[in-house]
Amino acid sequence: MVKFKNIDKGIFAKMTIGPEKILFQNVHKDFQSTGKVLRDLNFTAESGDFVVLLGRSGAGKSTLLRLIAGLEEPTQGNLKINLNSANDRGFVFQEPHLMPWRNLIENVGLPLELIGLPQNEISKRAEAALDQVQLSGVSHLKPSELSGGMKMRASLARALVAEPSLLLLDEPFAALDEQTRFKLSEDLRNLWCEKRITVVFVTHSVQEACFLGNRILILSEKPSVIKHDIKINLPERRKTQLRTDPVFNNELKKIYELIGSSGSEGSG
Amino acid sequence: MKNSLSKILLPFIPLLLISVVAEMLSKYGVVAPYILPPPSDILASFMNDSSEYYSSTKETVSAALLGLVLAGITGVLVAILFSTSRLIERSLYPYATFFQTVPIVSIAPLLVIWFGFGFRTVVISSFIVSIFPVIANTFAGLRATDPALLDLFKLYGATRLNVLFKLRLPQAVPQILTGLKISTGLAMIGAVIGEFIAGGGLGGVIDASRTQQRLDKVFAAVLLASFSGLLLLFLLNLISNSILKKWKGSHD
Repeated sequence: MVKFKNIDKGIFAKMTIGPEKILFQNVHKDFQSTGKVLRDLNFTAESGDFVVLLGRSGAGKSTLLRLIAGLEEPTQGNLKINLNSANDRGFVFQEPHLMPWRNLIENVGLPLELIGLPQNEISKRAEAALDQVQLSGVSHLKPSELSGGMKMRASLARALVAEPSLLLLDEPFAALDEQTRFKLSEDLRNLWCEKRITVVFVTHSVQEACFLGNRILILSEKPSVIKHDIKINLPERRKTQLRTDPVFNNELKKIYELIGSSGSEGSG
Repeated sequence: MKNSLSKILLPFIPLLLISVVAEMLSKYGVVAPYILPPPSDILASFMNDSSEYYSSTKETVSAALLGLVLAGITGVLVAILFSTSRLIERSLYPYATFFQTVPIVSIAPLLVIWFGFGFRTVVISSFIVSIFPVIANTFAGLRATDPALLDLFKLYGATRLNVLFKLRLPQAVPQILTGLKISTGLAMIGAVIGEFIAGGGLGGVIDASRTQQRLDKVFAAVLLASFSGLLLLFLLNLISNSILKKWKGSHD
């Protein structure tokens, strides 16, 4: 029996892991400034799934992600996130948001520092996290000395350093050039294949959603509801070459058709 | 190399030209020496009273430096206090602006009554004039923290102290340095004005020489005050640049 409760600090306490990682039940979110953002949201996400939230700019995708992270609280409704500890989720922002005065290893180690781990443990795990995102050689450089792609990799390492079971990403590759974006998408998919943690990835790019996700939730315009819930039938391991494969294009077509038909339906 | 040399030497050309013109004006009796002393007199005064100038300059610079250091420490602490609560900020910030608007000349006599003649009052005068830019810039820096990083700290349950020392303060370092640079010139001004009333240092020399109509000494002291101010600013720029370079790394 799953018990629902309003999100508060209690949900981050240890609890029995149910079948679903994320559970939203009739969740509403209003802001004083922008009005209704999310309306009557219901969905669940399985543990270990790769879920993409797809929607136009301003569709409330980021708000939904922030609700999952616990950075916002719902105005109404229940949501439950199954976490092993208070620090069991990683968050990647739209921009790398590294601290310019810290070198990479100090940036990546920050979460462990805030949790209060001993210094030698922090450096060891930060090095390992940098290694995971292929940044092992540059751990003593400052962010200003790195390219945009490397900064985003470091930001990803920071989100992974505390070994969370839930990884949340808010349009992380939007500001990167296409080739870097393709490479990072491929690497992120690979990471997921190895770690099998739950990933929620927000994007407005249909291509990116299709390439990365096992499942895509398409959000409507504000106030957002989930319009479509699509399963992507692509292989587990995905290389950049897949983007030109007819199989990939078929999946893309499926999504575009759904978006097109819902667009003509209006928001009734 | 050639470029940096010309950068240092070029400003001396106008100075040389002005000196030559001033020398001519005095020599041919166009302007009386008690209005504009000939540069050669000023130069001679440097030579004759060099020990007096040396000790006065040392006194003024020490007072300005001490005032600046005190203003730097107190200013940063006050800004931290303001940043901890809106209530404190709203009720106290208007009084902080007092330090910016107060005409130091008008309260210097008061300072003498409270703190006596001499070095201590000069330091306090320098401190009063130079503290506001530190408060204002540090406070602005503490407030301009990256909201995403604040979210990140929140995600990992950071304490307020952690947020202050690991995020807000280090992020404010460039603004704190900007504040200190603005304050450096002001600290020198505050010290010289303090010395006008409280005595001692270059301000004391200027005030005494003025009453004795020794304009050569007035000019010599004014030049020394300006040059030592420039030197202080130059040193602070060096320190600030090296800190900033360390702060954000460099491409070299």
